[in-house]
Amino acid sequence: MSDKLQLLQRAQRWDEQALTEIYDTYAPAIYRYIYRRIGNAQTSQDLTAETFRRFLEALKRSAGPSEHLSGWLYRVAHNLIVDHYRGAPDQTEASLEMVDPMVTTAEDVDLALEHRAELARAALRMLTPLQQQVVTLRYLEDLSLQEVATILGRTVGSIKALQHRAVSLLQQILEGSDDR
Amino acid sequence: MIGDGDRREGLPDNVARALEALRPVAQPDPIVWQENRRSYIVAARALAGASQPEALHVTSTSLESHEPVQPQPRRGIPVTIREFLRLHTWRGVPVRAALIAVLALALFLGSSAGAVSAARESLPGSPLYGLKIRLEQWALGRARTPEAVSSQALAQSQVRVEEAARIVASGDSVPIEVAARFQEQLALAVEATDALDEPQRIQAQSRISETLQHQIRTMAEITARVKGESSETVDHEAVAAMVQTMMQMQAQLGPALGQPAGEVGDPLQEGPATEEPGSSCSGPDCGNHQEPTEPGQGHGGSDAPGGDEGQPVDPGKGQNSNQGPEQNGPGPRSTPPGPESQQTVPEQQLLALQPEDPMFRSSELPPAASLFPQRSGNAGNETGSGGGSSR
Repeated sequence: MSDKLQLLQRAQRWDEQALTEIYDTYAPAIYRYIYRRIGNAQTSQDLTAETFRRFLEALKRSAGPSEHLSGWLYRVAHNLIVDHYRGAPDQTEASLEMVDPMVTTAEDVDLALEHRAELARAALRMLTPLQQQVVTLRYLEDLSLQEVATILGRTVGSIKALQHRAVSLLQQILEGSDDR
Repeated sequence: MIGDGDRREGLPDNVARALEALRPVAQPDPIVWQENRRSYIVAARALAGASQPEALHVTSTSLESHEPVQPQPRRGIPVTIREFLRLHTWRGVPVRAALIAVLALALFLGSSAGAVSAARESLPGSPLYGLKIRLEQWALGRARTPEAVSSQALAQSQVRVEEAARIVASGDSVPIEVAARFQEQLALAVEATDALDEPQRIQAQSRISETLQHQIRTMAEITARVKGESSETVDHEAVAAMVQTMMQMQAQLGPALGQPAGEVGDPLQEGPATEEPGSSCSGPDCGNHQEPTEPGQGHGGSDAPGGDEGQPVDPGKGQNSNQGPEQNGPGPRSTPPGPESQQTVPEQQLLALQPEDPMFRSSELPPAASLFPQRSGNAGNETGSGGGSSR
């Protein structure tokens, strides 16, 4: 039995030490995952906290993760990200238009990077939810195909196909933004 | 820098650049981070308490060892009887253990009462007969006064007679142990009266005499049935020995109570055995012929059939040899009767049995008179008192 699974089973028995260990282990990764998709620290912290709050509620209902705790947390975080953008006004087109390739100063560089990041987030949001997850987990969280397949509950082959289509679509989106 | 070259190998440049722009992550506010962490732990405790009260006491060590966690006893009304029995104590003893002990005791007492009741109805050879005898001995040991001892022993002798009657009625042989025990108990009943003062002693002995008459009547009926259903396979030696004991004792008590010795046979005059052919005493007045003669006559003081028929009776060994020539001697019961005394006049008269009847084969039991060695002095002091008896 793996250490992660033992940790999860202890948490299911409401072992406070295990529950704390889970938070300290997975919260930073979930925060990074959310931040890279949202770009706001405060919101990312709030959504991270909300992810773990839902984890506790799921444990109470005995509906929490049975095996892959990290995958369950990433899916919850992804849903929160989707909900976050669903409730907010659609800024995709505006974000794509914000990028100014003509900046030259350092301050302009930072601003340009921020604009590029925002452009990238806007491009990601144009993908399907599953494609967004695959791209984020594969290229931002640096997870292997097998890990992503485990988290998303798919086969490695399907993750490869999703990845391929996502990258192609993302390329087209970014090329379209570059053309503007 | 792209970072993971392998994963990003083959990525279009614009995609690679866009993803690279997403890599930097702003550090979270540490205060908010710690606050969120603390809120998570508090929520975990709250939800754990609402879900499983025991979880608050769970430690990682107990979970790793997979040992069940025992909740602490809670005050108030327990939820279930099982929980009550498991968690509560009475005077330091777990309630469940105390309850088990009480139930076991009740079961033991209940079964004991049933066993005692069954033992009282048991017969020799029954597994419970030993318990019956021990209960009798225990009851006898509890008797503190001579009168109580006499009464208890007499009652127990009556039990032996009833046992013999039941055994004979069932067609079996009465064990010789029944007769032996009967002798001992009857002897004790009489012996205990020696310690009583004169009025009480006479009263007690009168009660014994009355009981003996009843027992003799009972045994007469038994012997009549035995004779009618004589079987070679049934041994009636014990019955004969009991009858002999009764007759001897009654004969000894009669003079002491101022009664003619012959009266001991009265009860059996009504029995069928008195009508037995060959009996020399078939009339209602037969018993009167057993009136003792003068001390020293030596023929037992009775006109026994044997005597009437000219059969010699050893004066010194007869039933009433205790009324022998030495009035200051050992007393009426001090002299053991000889073998001939087992076919003494009273039993042959009253039971009207043939001397050669197999019932009256020589008994292995000691003569009843031999059971009263200590009574000789007391009896000797009473020699000549009352009805001309040696007592």
